[in-house]
Amino acid sequence: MSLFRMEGDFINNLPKIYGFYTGGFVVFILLMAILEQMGVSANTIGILFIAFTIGIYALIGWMSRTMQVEAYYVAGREVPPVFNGMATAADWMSGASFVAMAGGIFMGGHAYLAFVVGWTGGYVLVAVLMAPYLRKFGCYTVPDFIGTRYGGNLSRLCAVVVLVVASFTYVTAQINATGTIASRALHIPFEVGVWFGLLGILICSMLGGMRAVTWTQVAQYIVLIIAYLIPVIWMSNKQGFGVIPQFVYGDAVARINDLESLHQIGVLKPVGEVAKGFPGLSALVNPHSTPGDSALAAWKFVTLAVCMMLGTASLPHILMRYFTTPSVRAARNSVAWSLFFITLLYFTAPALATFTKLQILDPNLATSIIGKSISEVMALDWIRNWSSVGMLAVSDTNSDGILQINEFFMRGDIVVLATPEIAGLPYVISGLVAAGGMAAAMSTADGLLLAIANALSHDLYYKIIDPKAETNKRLIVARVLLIVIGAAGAAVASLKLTGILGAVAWAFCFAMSGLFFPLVLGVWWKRANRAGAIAGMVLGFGAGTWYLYMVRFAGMEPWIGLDHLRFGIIGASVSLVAMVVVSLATKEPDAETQAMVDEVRVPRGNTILGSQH
Amino acid sequence: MSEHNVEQREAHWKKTRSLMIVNLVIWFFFSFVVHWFANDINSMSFIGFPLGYYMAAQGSLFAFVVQLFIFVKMQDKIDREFGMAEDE
Repeated sequence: MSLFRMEGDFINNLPKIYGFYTGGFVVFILLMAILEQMGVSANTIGILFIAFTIGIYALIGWMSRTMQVEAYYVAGREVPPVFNGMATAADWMSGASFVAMAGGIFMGGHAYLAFVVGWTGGYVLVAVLMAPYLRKFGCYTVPDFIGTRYGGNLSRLCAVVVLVVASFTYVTAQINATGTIASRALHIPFEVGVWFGLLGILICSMLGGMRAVTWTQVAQYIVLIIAYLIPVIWMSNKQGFGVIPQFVYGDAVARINDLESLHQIGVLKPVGEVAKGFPGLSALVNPHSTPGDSALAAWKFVTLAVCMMLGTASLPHILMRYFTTPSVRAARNSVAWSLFFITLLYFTAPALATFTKLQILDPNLATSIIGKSISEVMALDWIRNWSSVGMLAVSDTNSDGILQINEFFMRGDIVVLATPEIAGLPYVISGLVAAGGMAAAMSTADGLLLAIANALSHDLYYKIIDPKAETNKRLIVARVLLIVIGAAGAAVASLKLTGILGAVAWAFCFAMSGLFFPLVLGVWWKRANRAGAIAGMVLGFGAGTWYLYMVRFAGMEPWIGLDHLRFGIIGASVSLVAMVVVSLATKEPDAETQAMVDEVRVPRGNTILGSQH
Repeated sequence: MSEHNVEQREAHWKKTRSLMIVNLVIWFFFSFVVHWFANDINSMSFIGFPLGYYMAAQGSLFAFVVQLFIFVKMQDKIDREFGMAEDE
């Protein structure tokens, strides 16, 4: 118990502590498997998985409680690169990555892989352009950098607004995901599940701020990566693809290519009115590995990737993770480790989508359903389970009694959650997957809530409203804000406004519209000044938001295929032009600011902002 | 206010900037160029995968990871060369 109190010892013992933790979790999984064999019900096992993991996170959160500013905002700046990498990976991989990504690839094929490329390539920008310099700056929050580099309360306030809009859009989707998973595992209504999820999220972050979030995120990464990899490896073993399936599923991709012509995927389309009867569900119509051959398809791929990358490099809950490392070098190193840990999951998602698709399509496999008789398919447990909750539907449109590809409708989200059932794996795996999804959604929600609450408490309250506030008061305000924002997020989530992924892509576009260029140019262009940065933030964010509104709600025809998922392209372009033009039209920054930029570029030496600022 | 003179700083920043540009070029290639031609390279096969699909599902990801670990090493070397690295 005293481990978390004695800081020095705790940091030195990290590999041992998390090693024990991982071992303990594996033992827990085995125990659940034994309980299942002894006849304990699936429901009980599901509840035990959720309760046990959240219990552990709560314990870590409680042990990391603190009343020190440096610990609350930046985890005391002592998180080693590898562990910060794991924490960032958990912070980064949301409920959407965990639950929806494989399903998106399943449904969307090659076009959807733009998310995979975008959500990894963005880290190159983070490492090369941003993270080390922000760490040298010594800020507590992202608006802290903007406010100090450009000076003035207005620039700080603009950054706070962009941060809040982008992160809040994102956090409602995460709370939504925790609600979905909790309601399924615990058999409670979704509206209650949302508040239950929020409770779990707040337990991790409220008492210890960034320090507590850091150490729970490491724990959550371990749970989510185990939960993601085990089913895939198990399934590939059953299909004869070996224990490291990610490298050898090329044959499966080729096989799906053949099956696509056999089942006429892309040729048979669902009959109009039938599809409308199943809102939110869709039939498989996109080829798995073949991109569309028009230039527009390539354009859509790269523009989506651009948005996800620039968004990655502007999202404050990610950037602030690199404020917690002991040095600038460690911050850089830590970005590389983050990407490594993220890639472990992201290069598995396409493999999972491929195996699941093969299970369903390949007539040589016992699990296949396409081409089987409808009555036979309807008798399957997993078909019954998922259609009873409206996530799957079968409709014999041509009344021939055989299931065609355009008669089978599902929600992409269920690929990850239902795969263990489709492949006939024991229930313990489904429980594990639920715990993993919960960990992914909770860890991201924690990072986002903290980013918002910290910006409001540090930048708005302490820096702008009441600079004389005492430490205790600041930290209490920070916690009150955390609860208020969390509650607002849960309230919005319970309204179920959008599907999980729409909102996630919007968050990236909002962030890149307002923050990308003010952050990058703040380091890389000494001439950038306050007026330019404010113009960049206001006009970029304004243009992006206007375009989103016009395309999504006012019925405007998108320009050259830039739909509502890609509005960041418009916002960021406007932001860049506005920032450069206005900066050049106004006076260059004063000597003091220029010296500050010089200082930021040198890793050695003290941070620009002292500790306890 | 600083222990480094202007020439040192400028030389350090020049090298840092070159490294940044090299990294962004590599990033641009694996982010956009290969995927722009996904359809054309899909006819080629790499360890059993259609190449265009492989690059989007794995190839680019690995390139980014390897690139970043090399970047960390090289930037550190630049910092040391000019005495601007942090003490261990």
